[in-house]
Order: sequence, then structure tokens, then C-alpha cells
Amino acid sequence: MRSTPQPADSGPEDDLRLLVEKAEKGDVSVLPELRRLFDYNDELWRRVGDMARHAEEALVGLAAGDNLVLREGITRRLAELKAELAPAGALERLLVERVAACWVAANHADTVFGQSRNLQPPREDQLQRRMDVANRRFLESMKLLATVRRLLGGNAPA
Amino acid sequence: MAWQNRDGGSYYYRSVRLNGRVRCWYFGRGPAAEVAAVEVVLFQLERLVARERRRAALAPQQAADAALDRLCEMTSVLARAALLAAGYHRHDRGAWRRRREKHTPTG
Repeated sequence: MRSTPQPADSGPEDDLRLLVEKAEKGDVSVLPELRRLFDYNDELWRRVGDMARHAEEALVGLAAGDNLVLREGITRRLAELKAELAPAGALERLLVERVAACWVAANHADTVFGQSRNLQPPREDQLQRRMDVANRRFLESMKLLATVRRLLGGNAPA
Repeated sequence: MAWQNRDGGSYYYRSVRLNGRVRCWYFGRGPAAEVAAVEVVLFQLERLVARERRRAALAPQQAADAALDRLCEMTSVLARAALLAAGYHRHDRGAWRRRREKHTPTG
């Protein structure tokens, strides 16, 4: 299996995460720094973009296995899905990448559960739980994209 | 229990559960004991190999799920940051609302 380099744990993501946590606790003094990090840190956007690519590659690889026809089909459907969701700006683009990745994961979990026969209870419960988590994650990703579009509209970071 | 040293010799015993009670079977020290001991080792090896196979089969799935978790977590942070930076807030994971501006009294 092809391995994609993992982003290091520390980096601008951690700085942003910390600022968001402070802002969510009501500390408005961090907002200027948060805006600065958010608007001008290309490294941050690049790293999250890498995460999206890595997740998509891993999920498509998992769903298609060695079947190149299936891989091509999933890749094309993903491209269509992303085009249909028509992201505007960098943030929406990443949220759409997330929706697409969650869509693959949810479909894969549904397929694996649907194709399973005569499973023992622990394994059946695992697959059912994985399917529930994947579907919930897909719905959450759609909801977040809708929230960002509704509240930020054209003001979302480009 | 396996091999037990008693009176200067090694004797093979096997503990088995029958009808909820543990029973001890005695195999002695001859070829039958050797075969019984090897049987147990082979059974344990087979179980270990099966477990490792299951773990190896699950590894790509776990790696993909972990990559997706990281992406979901980080895109959530980015979206929350964008909403906070645009003047929104939310209380206790509720709906996002625009932060009220503090008005300074005039006149």
C-alpha cells in the first residue's frame, strides 16, 4: 500500500486549535490573532489540504482494493460530487473535501455491513457501529458545510 | 497445568473445563504426553496466526478511519475559527449566533 507522509503533530493547526478554544470560552482578545493566523497562514491551509488528500486516498484504496475499475468509478463519482457542491473559497473547498471523504466512508461501511453474512455478534456489532458512525459523520459534514454557507456566504475565507 | 515436575520426572497434565468445572487430565510422560503437549502448542499458534490475520486485515480500515477523523477534526476547527472571526459565537454547542455589539451610551 502506498503510504502518504503524515503531517507532524505540532504546527499551525495546534495554534489555531488553541485560539479557537480560547475564543469559544469568550476570550475576544484572541480574535485578531485568530484572524491573522486564519487569513495569512498558507502552511495551515496546505497541511489541512494534505490531510484531505491522504484521507481520500486511504478511503478510496479501502473501498476499491485492487479493483482498478472500481477505483476509477469512485474517483470519478467523487469529482462529480465535489463539482455539484461547488465550493467557493478555501474553507468551503476543504469542507467539500470532507463531505466527499465521509461519503466514501459511509458507502463503504454500508456495503461491508450489507455484504456480511453469518457474522458472530461481536463482529456484527462492530460493523453496525462503524456504519452508524460513518453515516453520522457524513451528516455532520453536510450540516457544517450548510452552516458555513448560510452564515458566511461570500465572506468565507477564499 | 502443562508439564509438572514430580519425583524427579516430568509429567504432562491438561486442564479442561467440562460442564462448568475444571478437570485435570493426566497424560503421563510417554509419547502420548509429548503429542498432547504439541497439540496444545499448535492450537495456540493457529489462534495467534488467525488473530494476526484479522488484525492485518483491519489495519487499512483503521488507518483510513484515523485519517478521516483527523480531517473532520481539523476542518471543524477551521470552520469554527472562521465563524468566530466573523463575529459569531455559540453557547454550549448550540446554534451559531452573531455576537452582540457592545454599544457605548451616546449623548
